Amino acid sequence: MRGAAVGTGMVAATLAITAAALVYGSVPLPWREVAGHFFGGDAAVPPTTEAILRIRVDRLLLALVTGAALGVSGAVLQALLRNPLADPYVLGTSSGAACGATLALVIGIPFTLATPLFAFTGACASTLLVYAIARSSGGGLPQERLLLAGVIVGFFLGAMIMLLMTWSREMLPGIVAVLMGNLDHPFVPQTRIAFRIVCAAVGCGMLVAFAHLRNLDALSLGDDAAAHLGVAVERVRLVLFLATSLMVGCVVSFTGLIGFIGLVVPHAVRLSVGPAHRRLLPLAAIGGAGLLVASDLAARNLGSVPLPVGVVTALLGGPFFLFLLIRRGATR
Amino acid sequence: MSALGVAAAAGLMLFASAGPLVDDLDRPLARNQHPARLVSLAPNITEILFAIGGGERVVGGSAYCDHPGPARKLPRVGGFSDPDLEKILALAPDAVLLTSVVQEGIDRALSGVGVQVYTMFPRSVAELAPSIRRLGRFTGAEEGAESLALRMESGFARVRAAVAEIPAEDRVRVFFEVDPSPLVTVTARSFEGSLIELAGGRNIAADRPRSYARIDPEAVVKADPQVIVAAHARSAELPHHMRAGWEVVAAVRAGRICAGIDPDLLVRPGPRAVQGAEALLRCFYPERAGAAGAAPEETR
Repeated sequence: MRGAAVGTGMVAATLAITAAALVYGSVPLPWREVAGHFFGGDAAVPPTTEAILRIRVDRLLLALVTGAALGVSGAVLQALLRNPLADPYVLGTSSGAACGATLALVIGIPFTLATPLFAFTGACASTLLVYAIARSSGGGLPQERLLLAGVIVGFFLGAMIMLLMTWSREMLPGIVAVLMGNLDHPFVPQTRIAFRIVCAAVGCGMLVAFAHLRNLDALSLGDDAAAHLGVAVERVRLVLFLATSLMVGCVVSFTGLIGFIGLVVPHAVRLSVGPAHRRLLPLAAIGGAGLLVASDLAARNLGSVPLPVGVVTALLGGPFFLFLLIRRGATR
Repeated sequence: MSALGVAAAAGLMLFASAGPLVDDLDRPLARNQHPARLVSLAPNITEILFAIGGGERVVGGSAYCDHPGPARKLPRVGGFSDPDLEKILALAPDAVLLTSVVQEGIDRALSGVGVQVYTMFPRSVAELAPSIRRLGRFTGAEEGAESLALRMESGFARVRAAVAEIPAEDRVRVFFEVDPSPLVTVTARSFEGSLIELAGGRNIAADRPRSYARIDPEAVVKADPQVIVAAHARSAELPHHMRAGWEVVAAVRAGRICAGIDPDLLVRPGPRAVQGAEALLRCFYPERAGAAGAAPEETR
């Protein structure tokens, strides 16, 4: 009952913030014109409004897909590693993506999709490296080794990024955009094709995650308990590990590192509706999408110049999460 | 009466040129002999030094000092904001030439070990010629500096004259793109901003804070610039007419995207800034460029 109420509330909030983002963006538009653009009707929609809405819708879709992918990935990884600090970045996937994107910027390849392609390649390479290290003990995929390998590879790649930054200071604004998150992408036709591929990949990753709802519940109880419940622990962990890496690698290749959503949203949802994944996963997707859209709207309007969206997700998400934590401690 | 005025003005000018020696930050400098070994930490200062005839005294430069040709052979002392102090000291410079606040820390570090520091910081077209003359006095290259300053003043004046009669409301709206993703532009507080104004453009981002600022693409579409200057190398990769939403922008509809201007002509407050202003004029008002571009100056 409570789950249904929270779920309805989150869907409503996400829809409301999406509508607000469509009207306000960074240049407020008359809501009648926005409604006219989408639903037809009496209001004549000037071409400038149409054009601004085209930019706005692309950006909004990017934010929704990215936020949902980060929220679900965080929820899956927290169950998979049974670690409350797990987030989409803990297994080195994102550091690999950021390192690839930085490399593409520093080399300066004159090709629209060079940065996303390099980022995705980096994400795959670091994921496979972490996987290989974790597997090197032979046989299974023990979670401690997975976590340790992920953290160490992440640190190593972080140092590589800093090295590239010191070598190439004139590329610093671009690199900062990768490290702090950036939803500002001119959508040329190639970008659109790449974005469709990202959407398809995120969709596949989500399908895999949603197909393992019961297994995720079992894995949260511990490997032995899950095995007793008939879960093929190692195989399931591998499949989910690859699914989240695919999602994270794809979205990071576009938006850079947007922190906090993957960590905070699943926890906030769990505090509200409990740990069952059939509720947790869909609400983490909706909550992640809503939080990123809200953060982007804030990032574009809080300062006199647009702020990096990753800064805002942490500034909004942090206090909100602490509020939930304290309130739950008080009512217990 | 007027004779008295002229005499007073002449006296003032005499006083000005004999007054205390200061840099662009108004900091007093010791008036001893002119420095014989110079290290320049900014590409525009290096260009100016070579143009005023002080090139042979430059013994070190930054990684970005790539013009004129001989500057490329200078020993490198590091980047723009992170030069190597030991490399600088090893060149035994009589003075190190810096620019802007980005290099404040270097300023303190060098002053701390007793190296003469001179800051050159022209923030606009109007400040450039006085700044060059001041540098000339410091380096003892007054003649070269005066001649460069005069040439640049007349070059800028030709550009200004070419657009003088255009009323403010008829001037073209300009968007100056420093980086396409995330989108970054220049404001009125930047040197580039003053070049745009000089060449008769109305910068759509003039009022934004700082000198370089991120700007939302929606704001650009809303402002509907008539000309876009793309001061980067990514126009082929992210052409404006292919960007969703940009197709309604006047500059895009009219194909008025100036992507071929060497960014160094625009971003460096140095001798080639006149060429930058002329290039902007050709871009903003091709029909008026003839008059100003009639005597293109070859700046060495």
